[in-house]
Amino acid sequence: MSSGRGGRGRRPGVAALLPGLPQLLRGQRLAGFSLMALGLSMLAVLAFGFDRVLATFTAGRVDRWIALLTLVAALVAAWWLSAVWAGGRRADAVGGASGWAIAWREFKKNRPAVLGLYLMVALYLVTLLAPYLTSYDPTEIVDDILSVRHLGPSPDHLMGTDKYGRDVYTRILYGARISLSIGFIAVAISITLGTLVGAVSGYFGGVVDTVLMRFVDTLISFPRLVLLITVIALFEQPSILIVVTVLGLTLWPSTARIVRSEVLSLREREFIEAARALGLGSPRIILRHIIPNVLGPVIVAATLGLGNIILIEAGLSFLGLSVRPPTPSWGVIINDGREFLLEAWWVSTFPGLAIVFTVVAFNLIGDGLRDALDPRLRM
Amino acid sequence: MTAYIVRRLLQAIPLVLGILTLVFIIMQAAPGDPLAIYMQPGVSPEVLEQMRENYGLDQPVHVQYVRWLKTFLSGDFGVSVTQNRPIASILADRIPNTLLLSGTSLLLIFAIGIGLGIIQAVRQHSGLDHALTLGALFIYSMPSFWLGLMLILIFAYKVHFVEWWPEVLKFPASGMDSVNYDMLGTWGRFTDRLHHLVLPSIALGVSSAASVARYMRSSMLEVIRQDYIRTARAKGLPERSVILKHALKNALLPIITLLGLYLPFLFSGAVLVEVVFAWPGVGRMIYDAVSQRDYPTVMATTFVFAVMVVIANLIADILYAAVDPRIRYEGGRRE
Repeated sequence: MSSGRGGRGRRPGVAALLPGLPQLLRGQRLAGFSLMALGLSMLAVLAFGFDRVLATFTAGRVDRWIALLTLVAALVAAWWLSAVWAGGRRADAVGGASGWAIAWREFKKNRPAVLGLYLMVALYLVTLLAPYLTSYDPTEIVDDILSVRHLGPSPDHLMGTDKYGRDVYTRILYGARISLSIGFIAVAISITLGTLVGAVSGYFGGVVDTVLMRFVDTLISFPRLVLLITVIALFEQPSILIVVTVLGLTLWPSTARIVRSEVLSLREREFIEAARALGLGSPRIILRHIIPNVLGPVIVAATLGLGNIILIEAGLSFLGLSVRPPTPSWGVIINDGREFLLEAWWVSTFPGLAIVFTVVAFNLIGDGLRDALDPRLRM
Repeated sequence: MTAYIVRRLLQAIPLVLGILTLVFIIMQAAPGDPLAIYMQPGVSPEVLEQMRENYGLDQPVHVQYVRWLKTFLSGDFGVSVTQNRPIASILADRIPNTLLLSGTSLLLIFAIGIGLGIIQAVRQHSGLDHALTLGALFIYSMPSFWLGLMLILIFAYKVHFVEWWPEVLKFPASGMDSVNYDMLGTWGRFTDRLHHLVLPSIALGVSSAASVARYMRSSMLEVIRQDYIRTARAKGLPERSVILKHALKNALLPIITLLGLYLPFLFSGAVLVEVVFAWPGVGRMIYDAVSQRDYPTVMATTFVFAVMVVIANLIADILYAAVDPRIRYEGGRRE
């Protein structure tokens, strides 16, 4: 307990200079590096895009205000955390660490997983800060298309321009919003649903279990994309909301299966028996005693599912069944570049790379979480 | 063994019924009147009413359901609105093409996956092992349709600008056969088809291959640790035969179950890859039907896809029972 407090360094001057520096000086490389990277990158955004940041006050658009908020929050967080942690509050020897604390310590040791976490944080920051990272508009088409269409990658247009002369880099930045938010919400829906169905099915057993699991079997028999295409085709104009809901409502069965098999063994355990003996009702037992104990596998499934859903959404928008074309989504941009693949390879190539890196990030985190949360599953 | 097969077949029946019911429900939710195409100025309301009666569309839902089940199960999927052909005959043309593509992919997946998995397991923690693991992670995270486009860009377009590139390795960008396919001999047709298969089957299969390699690696590592392998080594067998003869057999067992797992995934990918490569399969059929709002075709295709998955799962289970006698005595279903 005292090792952390004993090392309390009173170096307010250093801490104020650079976030993460006090941590680095004390050998806390992970914390120090993270804070420094965060602080410096935010400063870089501020420095290189200062006029764009100023434009926030005149543009009057919500996403720019959100970006400003993110920028300020990230800057404050970097310095504040650096100062607070420098105070030696991060004592390592916490007596009787909880399961989550142990898992976090395990996760931190896994370098690929931490890399994935960095990638993910960077992605979300980029998504929120998009207006400050580019001076172009993602959907605006300039009048003089011929002079700007299909320009190759250059310092002006980092990833070239597409057939309407729009900056591909800008479109990918804004497309990240669509892909990440659709993925996040759809996973939230499908994980919640899958956990509930799986827990109910496993806990009650009998007829309930049979009926629910037959339904799950049926849903799983459809190739995912085929089922999604069929259901989305029912709507005249697939909007983001519809796509998210359909994704969430069709992808839960695999989670339900995982949760069910966990619950089957959990329900025979003594503490559940004790809860039942105390006369607790089934909803309370499921929500308070069963579900908290299956959260580990569920979180792993959610993280891996996030990467999967981003791939599926990209496929759907590639087929023109997700967001409508002027809105940039990674799949839409790839499809835009398809007809001019030879003349302008950059239009299709870069959004694909963005997808690969995003999915890699989530897969790395998912694998790391699996190792951290359930050592039995270590491959 | 026969008893096991019969039991698995019986289990598949409610599944197919469930699939049919779900398709029916989705179909009922489809917008528009099924007779909408006949609603033209030249068709009188009385005729429409008569047709409604003939098709049984005036009956209550459950009667329609039973009736629809009967026709659907007899293989009558109705007529494609846009192609004006029985859907069953279009499907008969398209299904073999999809099976050819997915089958080739499947071969590729297991050949590459198992091969790499063995190499990684034998050289565990070597530089090669780490490099392959990292590569597999990236390949596993790639969207198949994008990979397809990149393959077309490089191996169908860009290679034509490289002088020394061998002609055989310049692949066609789309389609299933060349223009002069009908004039070729048997061998010519075979190689032409193979040439067209290369890029799409790689695009479709490579991500699953990466994942098979991962499973194979851990399965192999598990087996290598066992006592009988140590015995085989102790009695002086060459390492090669220990790995390829003794270890491989048991390491392959869990891999067979993956077969059933990857097929739905493969068919999902087939939709995208068939669109990218203009491959005339079922996946492209459903895509075309969706863009033309041809609902009867969409439903029939969805049904066919689901049934293909069920059949594939059956085959995988039976295959597994054939190679691993333990499974047959378990009685219940395998999870």
